[in-house]
Amino acid sequence: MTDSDIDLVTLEIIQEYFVSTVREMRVTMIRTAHSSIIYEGHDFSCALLDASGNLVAQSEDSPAHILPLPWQVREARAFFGGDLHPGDVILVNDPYTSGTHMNDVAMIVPHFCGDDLLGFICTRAHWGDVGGMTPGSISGEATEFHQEGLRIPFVKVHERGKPVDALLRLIFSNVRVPDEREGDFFAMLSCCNTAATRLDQLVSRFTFPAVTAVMRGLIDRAERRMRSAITAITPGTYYYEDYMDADLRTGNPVLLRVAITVDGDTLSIDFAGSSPQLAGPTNGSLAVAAMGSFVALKALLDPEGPINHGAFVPITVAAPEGSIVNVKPPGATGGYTEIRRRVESVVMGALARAVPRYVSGDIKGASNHTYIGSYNRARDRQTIFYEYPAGGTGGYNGHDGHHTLRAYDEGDFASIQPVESVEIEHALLVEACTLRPDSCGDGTYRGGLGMHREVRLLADEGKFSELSDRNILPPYGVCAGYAAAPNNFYVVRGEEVISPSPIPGKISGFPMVKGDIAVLQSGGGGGYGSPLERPVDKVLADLHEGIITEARAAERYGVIVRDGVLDAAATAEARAAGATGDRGLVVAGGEDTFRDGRRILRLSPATTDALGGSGALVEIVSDTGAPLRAWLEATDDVADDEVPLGTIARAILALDVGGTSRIRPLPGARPG
Amino acid sequence: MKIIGIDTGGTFTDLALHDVTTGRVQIAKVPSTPANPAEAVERILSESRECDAPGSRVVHGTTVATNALLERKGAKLAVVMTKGFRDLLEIGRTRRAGPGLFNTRFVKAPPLVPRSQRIEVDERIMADGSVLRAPDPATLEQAAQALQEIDADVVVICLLHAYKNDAHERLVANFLRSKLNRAKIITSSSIVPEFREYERLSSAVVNGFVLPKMEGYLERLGKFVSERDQSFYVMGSNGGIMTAQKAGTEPFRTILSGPAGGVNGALLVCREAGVENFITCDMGGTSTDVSLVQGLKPMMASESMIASMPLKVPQLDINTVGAGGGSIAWVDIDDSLRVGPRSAGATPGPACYGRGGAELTVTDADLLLGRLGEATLLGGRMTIDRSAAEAARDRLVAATGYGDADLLTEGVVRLAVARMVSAIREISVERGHDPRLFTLLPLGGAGPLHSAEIAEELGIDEILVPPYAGNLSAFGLTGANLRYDYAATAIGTFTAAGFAQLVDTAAELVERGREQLMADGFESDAVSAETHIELRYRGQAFEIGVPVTAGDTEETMRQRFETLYRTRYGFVRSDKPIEVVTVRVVVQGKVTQPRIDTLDAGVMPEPSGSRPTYWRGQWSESAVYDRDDLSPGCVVEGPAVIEEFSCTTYVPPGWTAGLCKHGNIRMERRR
Repeated sequence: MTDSDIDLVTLEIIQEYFVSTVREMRVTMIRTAHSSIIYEGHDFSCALLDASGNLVAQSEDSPAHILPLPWQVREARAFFGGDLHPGDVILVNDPYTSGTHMNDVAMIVPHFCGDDLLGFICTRAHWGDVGGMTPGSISGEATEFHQEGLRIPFVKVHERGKPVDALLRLIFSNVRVPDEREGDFFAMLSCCNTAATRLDQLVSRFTFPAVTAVMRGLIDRAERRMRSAITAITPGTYYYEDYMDADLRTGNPVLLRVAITVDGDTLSIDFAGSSPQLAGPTNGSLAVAAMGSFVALKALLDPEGPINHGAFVPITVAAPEGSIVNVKPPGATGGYTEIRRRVESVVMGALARAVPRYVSGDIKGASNHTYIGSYNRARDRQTIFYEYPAGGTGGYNGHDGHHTLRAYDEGDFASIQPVESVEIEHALLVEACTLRPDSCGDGTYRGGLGMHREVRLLADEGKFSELSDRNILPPYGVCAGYAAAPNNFYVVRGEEVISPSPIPGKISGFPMVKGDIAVLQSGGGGGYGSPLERPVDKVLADLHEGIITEARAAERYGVIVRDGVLDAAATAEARAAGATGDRGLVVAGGEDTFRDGRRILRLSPATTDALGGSGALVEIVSDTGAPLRAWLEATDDVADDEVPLGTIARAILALDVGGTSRIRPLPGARPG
Repeated sequence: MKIIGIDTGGTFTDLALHDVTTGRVQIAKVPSTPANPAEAVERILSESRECDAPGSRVVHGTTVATNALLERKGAKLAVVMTKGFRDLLEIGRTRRAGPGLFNTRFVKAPPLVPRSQRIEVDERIMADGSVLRAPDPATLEQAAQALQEIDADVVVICLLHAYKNDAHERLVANFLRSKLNRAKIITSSSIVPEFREYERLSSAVVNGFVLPKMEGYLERLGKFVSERDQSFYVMGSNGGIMTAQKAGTEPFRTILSGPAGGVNGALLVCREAGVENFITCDMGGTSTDVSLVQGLKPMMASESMIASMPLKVPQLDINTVGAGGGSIAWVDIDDSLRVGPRSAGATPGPACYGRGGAELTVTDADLLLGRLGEATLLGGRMTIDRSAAEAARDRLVAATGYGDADLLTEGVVRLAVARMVSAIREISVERGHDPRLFTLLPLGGAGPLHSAEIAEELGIDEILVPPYAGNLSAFGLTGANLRYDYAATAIGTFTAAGFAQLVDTAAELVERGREQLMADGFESDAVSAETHIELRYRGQAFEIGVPVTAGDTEETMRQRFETLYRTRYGFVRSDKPIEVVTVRVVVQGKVTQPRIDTLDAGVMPEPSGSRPTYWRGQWSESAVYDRDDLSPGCVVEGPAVIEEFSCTTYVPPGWTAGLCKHGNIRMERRR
């Protein structure tokens, strides 16, 4: 049977069937899992793949788990060769064979109809612990995988329907709270069994050749869809670069560079020039880099289309071996999600100019995992408060971003708990949870506001930990829109404001005392377009609603309001004057220079001082895309009114030598 | 006594008159008046026979509150919050509450109360109900001033831990009543006396938003009804009825008032027919509502989302999917065929309505497949433009490049059916029910047309098409019980002493319901009460409702919880402590059920006509019967069509249809 024999209607009906099968897998998992991170946190995903390991169907799962699966299944196929049989169940958590981090354990079940392989049923779930040096296995201190738990390469835990007891005993002897892990393992099995039953029913109704032809048809269709979206982009190479806040060893920023080449209906992504893998846990496999790339591409090119392997086919991803985006053993990977989020930012930044329709200001760009451990006397037990506050979303052409809302790259479940639950469970008092005025990236369409949440400790002592990023380098705005406020975490003790860690946002067990307030501030969304173009009435409405302050309205939007009254003349004047904080400079030829993980921008001493001095962080604004960030260095070789830019920088900004660039200081984050 | 059920639908307003003494039911119908639905209600009440009897009870199913919410046409609101929580309504739990994965351009509807109308008062109650800070007089004064300037129609007060101690909410409310002369003031704890502040606030805000409109509407109708010396009730989302006065002050309890009537109608029909387990599938123009009933008990939910807002109120567990008769077939950019969620709505409506609709809808496809008759739509009152449907089909054929126009047309129906099947799988398979053990009960104008196809996909072998399947809601209203739901949050470890206290709390709530029913004129012997306590393992966020019966102890409750937990999740964790969260009480006033006449057996009539119908790729000549001609004992072999005023039943090849003695069409798959 060929693809053309499958009619349009059958294709759709089976597609609906696949998606509902995956949804049923999800329900089975939630109903049977033993740990709350799965049945409440939904930290798991399910998918169906074809016999070659191509993704056929997923549901509204978190893309982080699912998208690396095809790579992993193909590696599994290659590993086992012809040695796959009905009743086999493969388990794997190896980050280096297209995994994520070791807590994410994948189950891969080849599904046969008779002797013929129909496809693979997969689920990946976050196990609360897989051994290693700390409870929960993920540690900011980890420097190699051995400290992060038991590494499970491709192994069969069931062979031809029979459990491999010795292996299972070995696994469950090396994880904490083994009965809970075992419960989750059985939940994964029943989840795959659910899908197996549904697939058998499907095949008995439509025949094996018809079902495989539909799988191929669906993949082909998604491929065509993606190819046509790529063809719409002007061919060429697009560059961008971005940073994670800091290498914990050196304090230097961690550089991520990308070059995206669009050639006809194909698109290739290369992360050459990115930071070597770190000694800490913030590393990801090439599959993670591919996943992050795909999330951004999907959002930019075809957000509505179905998600299956066809959409990946026209896209290739490469990264240097041993880099943060292609980690090799024994690099630690516990914090891989930070890599994935920065990959999204960098891909979106590169294509901002090429695909204006879906480009939006950047988002909070970090997972914001927040933990406060304390003893609750009222309930006579030790508790751990766990939240991951959402931030503002980016403005885009046509609409402002939203305030503190789950973003395009995340599943849709709550990121904070009800205050009334928190206070019943924990010896904590939530003092405030409000929007964070002025945290938006300003723009013609401004970003959304981040959140300000204050959590006071009522117990005698507690421990505050935070795994976040984008605490120093803020989410960028696009098309001359402004950056938003970064994520920000600090402690208030009486009148005193305390920075709980040397590097912002990387807090490990800060000792809180009774009465301390942990302040959690999530970042806003980046702006779109120049705020001077924002209609005055919308700026006034934002003032009226307390989204921005009068000072901000004057500084960024050129809207002058005094005691609630618009000064129309002063406003007209301020708007005509342009963005006064920006400095216009003439572009000269130069080198793309990087040092200590930073792009260096060499300006004259006078200009450097005017923009914040040597070592200050600035961005070079682009009216048609994402801005370029760099650190200043004063040099006598450059005239006061010029800025030397290398070829990559000029390509990122679409600026020619002799053109005018605008440099904008980027104030760093500070507590308060 | 007589009970008069009146249901406002999108097109028609239906009336069913139930004479409690004789058990007889009569029905009537007038066109709806969407601009002011009360006009049609008054008209049908005035014009229908025997509806003027004093002492009758009028029971109304209304979509006034729902529409106000969906169209966002409601009150000007202000909220008063605990200091530090001004933005709770906007932040919520940070959920999109809609599909938005990969979509950077996702748009969430703005909150019903803008930030400038959200005011704070400095006060604080702790989780144990103790007072940390009494309301600060200065901030109260400021709040009053701000509210005077805002001049809202309704002010909602939501303070933290008010479910545990509502003293501050009451104090603030009383203070504001003395300061504001026109605003209605609602406290969150009076609407939802349960923990989880966002859900409580959202429910109270929804209530406030629809309140003035609903109150005005019910006052007008209430006056009309009471002048006739009749009493007035409204169907609630929980499947029971309440006094119109209660519905006027707590309209958030009526959001599912419309579909609840249909489920009640289905219950009445199935009880008579001896069918205890069934799935309703109410297919309208733009959407389809499905629900599951087991042992004649509809599945309930304690919370739902409406217009992206959580609504915490006991309600029928109704799942809605955006596929109906008006759903439009279209071709996506990757050449795939899609049906819905866009709908042709009432205007222009399907192409065959001849009102300018140019795209093929499911209804058009039904017509072109011969399943829907040209002269039978609404009993022939509606002229059908077949050529417009054909033109729409031809455009779709051209757009898809699909060779076989008939197959494509059938495909449009099959895709719509696939969406409904998914919706039914969600409420059955995904909640642990095997749909094959249920009877399918199609409702709505388009339900019986597609029921066989839906049943085949789900492996269901029996379908029951009730009389007036297109308008069963009004009939359902006449048999609905009065029902009041009460709840109290009582979080703590589940202990013997704690259980005794819970039983006391439940008894108080039951007494409150009893008093309400006495005030409604019910005799005590017609009152029943049920108590559930919601339990969970410590550390979990979701609870299971465990029924309490007389003589229960902490130990029997624990066992019952574990049994229920095992049924739902497949295992238990006996080593983990159990926590109690909420006590729920349902108090019902039982209403005498309408009788459904039994029909005498008759002979098989001649078909009223015949036409070709298309099924699974083949045309075959099919007999057409008028439903009124059929009597018990008649058996119709598919392919056939059975037509009646408000709907059409399609009996495909492989199915038979017979009339049972209560007037239902019973369709069975031949094995």
